[in-house]
Amino acid sequence: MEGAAPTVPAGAAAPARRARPPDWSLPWLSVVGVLALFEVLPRIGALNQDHFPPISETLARLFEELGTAGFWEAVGNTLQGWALGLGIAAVLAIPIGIVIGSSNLLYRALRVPIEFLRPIPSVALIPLAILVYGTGLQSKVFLAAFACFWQLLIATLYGVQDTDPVATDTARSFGFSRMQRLFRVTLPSAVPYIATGVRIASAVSLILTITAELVIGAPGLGQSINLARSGGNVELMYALILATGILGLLLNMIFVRAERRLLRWHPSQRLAKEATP
Amino acid sequence: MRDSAARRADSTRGGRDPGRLWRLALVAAAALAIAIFAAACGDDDDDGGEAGEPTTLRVGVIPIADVAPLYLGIREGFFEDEDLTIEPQLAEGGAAITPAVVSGDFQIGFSNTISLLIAASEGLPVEIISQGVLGAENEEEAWGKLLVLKDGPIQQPTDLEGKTIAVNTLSNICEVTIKKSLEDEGVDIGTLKFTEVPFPDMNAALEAKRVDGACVVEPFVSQGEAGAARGLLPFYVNTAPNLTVATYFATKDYIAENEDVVDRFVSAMEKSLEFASDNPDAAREVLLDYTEIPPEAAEQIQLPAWSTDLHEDTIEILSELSVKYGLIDEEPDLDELIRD
Repeated sequence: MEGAAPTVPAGAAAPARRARPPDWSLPWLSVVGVLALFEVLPRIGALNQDHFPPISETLARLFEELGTAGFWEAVGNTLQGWALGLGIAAVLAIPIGIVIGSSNLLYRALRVPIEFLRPIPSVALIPLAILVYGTGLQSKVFLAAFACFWQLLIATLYGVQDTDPVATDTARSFGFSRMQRLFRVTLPSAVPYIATGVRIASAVSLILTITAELVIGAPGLGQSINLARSGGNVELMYALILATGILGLLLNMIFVRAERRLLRWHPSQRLAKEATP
Repeated sequence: MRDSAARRADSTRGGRDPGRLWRLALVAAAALAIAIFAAACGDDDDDGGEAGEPTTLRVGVIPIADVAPLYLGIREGFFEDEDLTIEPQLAEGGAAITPAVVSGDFQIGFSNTISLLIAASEGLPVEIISQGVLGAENEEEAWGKLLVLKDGPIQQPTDLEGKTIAVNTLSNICEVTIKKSLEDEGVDIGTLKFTEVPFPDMNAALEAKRVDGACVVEPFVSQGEAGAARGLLPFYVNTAPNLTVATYFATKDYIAENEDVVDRFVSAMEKSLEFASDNPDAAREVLLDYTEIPPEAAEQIQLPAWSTDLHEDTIEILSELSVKYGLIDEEPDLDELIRD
């Protein structure tokens, strides 16, 4: 504790608290700031207006696109690739991660192959994907699933390995079988890792899906961006790029909400809730 | 004792049993995995191909003005008259189309002549079945031009010696035709430097002075000329009038096994090419369907030239130039490459 409270001259009013925008408005203020910047810079010529239209024109074009069926078809195609890529990666990586993580022998044996295959960037596999799967949905899903698989595998492995050994020992001394220990102790403790892994993998899946569409030409937002580019339609191109960013943001928000709901029972969530005012 | 202890453990969690949740989740995930795999991996369909039977053809194209006749033909029903359903597959570049045709993913593809000559010389079993698009007959109608800055240091072709020229693909048709055009103007082409820039980025590269000249096609020629650029040389026209720039092709095996289908496609395609040549307004309209060229631009661009004549002599010229400029070692057999 400090010593005497800071003295306030008698008669002086308490110093007024500096006016500060409320916390919830801060992100919005920065968004408005960035938008204003990208409106002004092209108009004053700092950015070439032909190659970077003012953001108001881009947003107007985006609103126009929202009314076209073609746009929503593209969004649907992208989401289809995203969902399949993430889904396939999840159903493969999570069980495999649990199995490998639970067995010290497997973990030590497979660590080297995993560390070797993991850093391979999915985009480097694009020529392989085209040769094997063609230029459609299957290629897209393969690339997205490949990238997400490693993300989720590592997340699951860490989650399983990070189980509190005291809890496992307690369960063992209560006479829980190996399977029971797995379902009752290890998995619940690994769930936050897996949930975070899924959320990050969702972003990875979206990136790879759009990249595949951009480079391979599979139908979706990435292909629409390239079409706009090939036609010299710069406004439409930027509008679609904005759309992909917004899509990523929305997907992330959905996952964060879902995480909070599904993991309400987990001690980590409860502690986090207590910590925030 | 064990059971009550476990039950006590349960009750401290407020009655929830995460273990049961997990078991359910794993079973559901397994079922989902099977469903996903079945859906994602099970769409191989092969088409009829027998004489007279309605057939679906996947045709690999690039979203450029050159393939407007194909879309016009679909719209006007020429392909339907031949019992053909065309599914145009928009690829990102010619490089993606040839492997897809060779592997059977597409039945027919659209590719520039040089790429097909290179493929043939490497032993790939490709065969040209129909005319695709031609360079113009004369300079006024040229749709591919070498652009330079209006107020730049390059005022005539010989100023390009030692400078950098942008082409969309290295060692391909733009490089070959620009070298020929410049050589004819007395330029020492050995001093030229080529760099690869995608068409949409060429005007920006020119303005930023990253390149000194750019080999551009529509709609970027009009875009550039409306901005800071001017056309110096129509490189397709200067190589040869009515140069066969790109054609439709298929693999030899596919043609041998589906002679009737290919005949029908060629017949409908020729009608489409003639229709497109005679009805430029319809061509400009259909551009808006499959490209994102803005409507104002579609009105103003110089349309490519279409015809049913394959102009094999121009293909011969391109073949000779490919050998001359080192793209291929020896000329492929043009009788093998071109159908009939």
